[in-house]
Amino acid sequence: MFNSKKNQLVDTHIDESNKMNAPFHSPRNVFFSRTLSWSRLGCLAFVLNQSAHGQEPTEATQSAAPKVTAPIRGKILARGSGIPLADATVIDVASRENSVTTDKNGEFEILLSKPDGAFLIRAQGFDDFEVKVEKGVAAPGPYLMEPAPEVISRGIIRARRKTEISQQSLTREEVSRIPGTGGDAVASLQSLPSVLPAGFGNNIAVRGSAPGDTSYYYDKLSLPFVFHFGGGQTVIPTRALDGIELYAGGFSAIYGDAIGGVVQLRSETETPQRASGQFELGLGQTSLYLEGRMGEDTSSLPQLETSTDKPAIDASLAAEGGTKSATESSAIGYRLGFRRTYFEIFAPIIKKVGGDRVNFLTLPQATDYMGMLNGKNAFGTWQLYLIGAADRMRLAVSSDNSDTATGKVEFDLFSYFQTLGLRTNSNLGNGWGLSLTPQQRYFVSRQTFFDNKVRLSSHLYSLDAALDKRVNKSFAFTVGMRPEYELYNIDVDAIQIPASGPGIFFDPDTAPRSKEKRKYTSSSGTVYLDTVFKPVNSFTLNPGLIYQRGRNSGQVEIDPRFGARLEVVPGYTIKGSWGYYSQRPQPQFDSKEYGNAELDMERAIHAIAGVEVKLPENWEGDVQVYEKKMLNLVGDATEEPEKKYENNVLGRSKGAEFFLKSPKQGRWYGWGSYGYSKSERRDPRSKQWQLFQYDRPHSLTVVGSYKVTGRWEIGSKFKYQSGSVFTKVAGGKFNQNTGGYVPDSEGVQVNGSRLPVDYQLDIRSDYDFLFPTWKLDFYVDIQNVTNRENVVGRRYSRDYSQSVDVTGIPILPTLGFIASF
Amino acid sequence: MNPAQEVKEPFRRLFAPGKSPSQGGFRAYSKLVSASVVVHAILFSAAHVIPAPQKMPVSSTTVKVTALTSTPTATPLPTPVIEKPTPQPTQAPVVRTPKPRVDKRVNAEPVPKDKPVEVRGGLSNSTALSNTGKGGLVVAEGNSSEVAVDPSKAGNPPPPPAATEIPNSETESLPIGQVPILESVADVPAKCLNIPEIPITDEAANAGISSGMISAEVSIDVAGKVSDVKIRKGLGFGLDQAVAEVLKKITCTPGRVAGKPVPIKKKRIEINVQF
Repeated sequence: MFNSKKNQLVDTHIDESNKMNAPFHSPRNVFFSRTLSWSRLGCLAFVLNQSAHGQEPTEATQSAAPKVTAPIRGKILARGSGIPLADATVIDVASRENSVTTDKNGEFEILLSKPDGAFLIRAQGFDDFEVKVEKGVAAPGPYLMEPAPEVISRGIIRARRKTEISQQSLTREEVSRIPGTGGDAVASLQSLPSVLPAGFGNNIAVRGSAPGDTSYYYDKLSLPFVFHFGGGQTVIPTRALDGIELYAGGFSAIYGDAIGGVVQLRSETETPQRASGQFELGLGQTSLYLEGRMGEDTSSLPQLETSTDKPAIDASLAAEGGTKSATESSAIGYRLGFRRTYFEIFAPIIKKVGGDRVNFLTLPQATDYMGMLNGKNAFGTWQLYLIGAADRMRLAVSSDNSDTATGKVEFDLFSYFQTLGLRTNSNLGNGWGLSLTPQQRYFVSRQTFFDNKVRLSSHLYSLDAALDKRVNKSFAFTVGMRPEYELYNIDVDAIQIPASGPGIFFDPDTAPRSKEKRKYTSSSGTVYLDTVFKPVNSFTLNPGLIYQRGRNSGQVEIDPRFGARLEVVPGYTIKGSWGYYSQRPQPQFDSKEYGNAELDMERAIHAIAGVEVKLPENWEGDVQVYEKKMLNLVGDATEEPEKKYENNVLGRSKGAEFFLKSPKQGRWYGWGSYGYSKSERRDPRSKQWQLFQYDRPHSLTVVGSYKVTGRWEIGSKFKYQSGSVFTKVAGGKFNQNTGGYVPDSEGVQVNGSRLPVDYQLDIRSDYDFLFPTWKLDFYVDIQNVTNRENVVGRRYSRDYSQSVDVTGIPILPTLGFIASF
Repeated sequence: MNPAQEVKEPFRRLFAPGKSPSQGGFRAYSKLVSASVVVHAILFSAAHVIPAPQKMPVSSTTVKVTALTSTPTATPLPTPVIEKPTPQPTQAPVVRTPKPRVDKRVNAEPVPKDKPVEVRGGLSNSTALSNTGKGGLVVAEGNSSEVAVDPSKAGNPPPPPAATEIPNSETESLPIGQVPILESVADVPAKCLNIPEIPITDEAANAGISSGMISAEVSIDVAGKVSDVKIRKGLGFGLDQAVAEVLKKITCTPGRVAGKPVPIKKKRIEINVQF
């Protein structure tokens, strides 16, 4: 039945082509299109539009030009990948009305009007390419097309059901070449407004929250850690990402267990169209990434055609047929990634330089891997994940004050996780959708520092389930849950670390010590209802409610959340949100022996107002003001010290953010952001408000990238921000019991001083060496081009009588090669 | 009051100003949660009562499927028929001087077969192929492939249009200059930069579609209006129809030949699914 329909349509197509064979006002408008060949074996369409008209109608041409009888055949490929270019146009230069387009294999056949001439190849996204023809013979192909520097302007289907009030989205293309990030997509988050660096590396503090208050998800998988070494590179390869979203606050009820922000990493749901890969060779690491597909080629799918002047054949059948055929693909995509650092090969050099002062057994070593399968079925999409990452850092340094058997200061860190997950998204029809993500995760962490030992392992089993329903045009809801079951194995023999971290007044020699060795299980989870009410097209109300239960029976909270958007005029939207947010304390704080099992959940209240503007040329602007109050934060116990930790810390932050972004179009893209913020914590002992340790009032970032040619791209990033706070002490006191000094806390204001402002300029250059079927990207990434000595901390002498500024990284060039095919 | 209670106090006051915990601060909070539940219930009920907002009127869409699959019998390659063109006066076109970047290797000895031609660049996208009628656009002979314009012929009247062997009454009735041409052979390509952001369909969102690309071909008339939309590569789940509906309504800058707008056919537009 369908074949007969196809034949009918083929005939229609021929008729349409023949419409071109009419008298023309200009020879340029002359076309002669015919369907020439259909290949049955390959199930491929081969439609050749051939123009035989428009020859130079001069008498000389008519009389002198010899007849051209043999067509020229060729194949057109993209240089650097070898991909056949379909729909490229081959134009007879002598008579440009004479043109053909390539088929899906990039092949063409053209009959030139003159035996001596040329034909021009023109394809979207590539420079034009002219081929000389002499005596009817052209240089044989395949013809390799050079990529054009301009990015093709494309339309956008916004894949999200709704836009969160505070949402910044970045695509992989936008973040993979940002200077100073080493090509790490997630590291680009620090260039967003009010996202401040927190501690080491890529850790971030969002709107005055601690780094641990922000949750990270890869699709719907929960990862125990995202950065290597607690702040290094992301454990997910950038090539395995389709984009990143940051919800800095005010997010809806579908996100639980976070009082700061949410970072959502997303994979591609489409199966790769072809086999490709990437191999990166850097000074400190090597990575390999492969992707491809197994199964049918979707390019044989039917087409959907709409027309305003053609009769309907069978609209409903066509619509259904198009949809089903496009989705019932049996192709399965695969993505494989592996990365490993090898800093240890530099150990001999470091030993030689350091001499007796350094005795490295090994250097930091990171490994990560991922395997992913994905596909489509009649109902939707699915992804199967296997992700793992391991960090090792083990060294032994000679030390005079070591009390270990080896006489050395021992430091040993090992973290590893592996997770297996399956995500299915199904369109059940009638507005219903179901998403299921079962996940299993194994995590182990072993830390040894001096004589402190921490051994922790856990098995997590969770199920993320969400049911979506659009009731009508004005109302939709999502109800979901995420129950978790965890099996812990803890073996701790270590000093008690303050809840806010080991600050300047922390004395490890006098800190209490805890031991805990046990196995236990815990059940926790969330249940939520998120609704979208749209009484009129320009107004959206997004109320939600989320119930959260922590590891113990006392950790139960219900958080109401509201969001609203009003499009005042097209392209100008005002928005706001208000809501409660809760999260479980860090596991070490509410463990039975080491911590306080009776801790409540930490909470926050977010209030946000803002304006979103869509500007000409697809520019986007966003302005937001926010206020956030935090309560029940975990602090050191003051009322009942034997409980070690209590929910006795308050926090507050407020600020304003400005963001202006140009999408990747034409030759350049970029964005600028400015954030003002102030964040504080109330000390449970003194009841005084102090600046939060990650507070930086001003933060300005400008990122830009320009494509000089199709092969060469340069970019720069400038970041200016206030200096971080620190506690200034005037001197120290000698402790006879420990034989060491402790800072004199008399009259000292914690976090009462601020380091000088710091700014940094990073630049990056990428040059693609294009070969017929692969390319080699040579990049130079230079951090801190001006070699500015930014002060990142202050270090005191042993007796706290003198201090010295600690500066950040000097100018640091990084070179690397990325081979892609 | 112990410190923990004291810490919580300011936040309780957010909901119950002036009340201490013993006076029901958390009861007020509980009331708020209850109120939230009530609000949800009201909204849910209202959604069923209040009629849906009026959607923008959508013109009826003609949809058909063109299957680009193999057919049982292959169509033989036809021999093109070239007829002597019939002279017809047209406006003299604007002559431009393109400077193509052509690799000299193209003009050298023929490359052995199967060896890729090493060419970097060619005519830039902005290069205009000027129709100068009697060879206004010529290709230099010999090894040079520089495209040059013959000034002596630049001002000559353009050649007469060609006649075709296959008559087509519908096309013949078209006004002169309104026969669609491929965008790539126009002096100035058509531009469709004002494509509005397309919201994802419920079906696609339910199916978890968050990436991918839809490739469409459109025809654009001299006024910039889109007359035909063909989805070359779709994603299903209603997205193809949604894209077609939007593309039909956009207005583009028409392509131009010799400074005059011309209808364009088969202009490719790509729509990315982007979160």
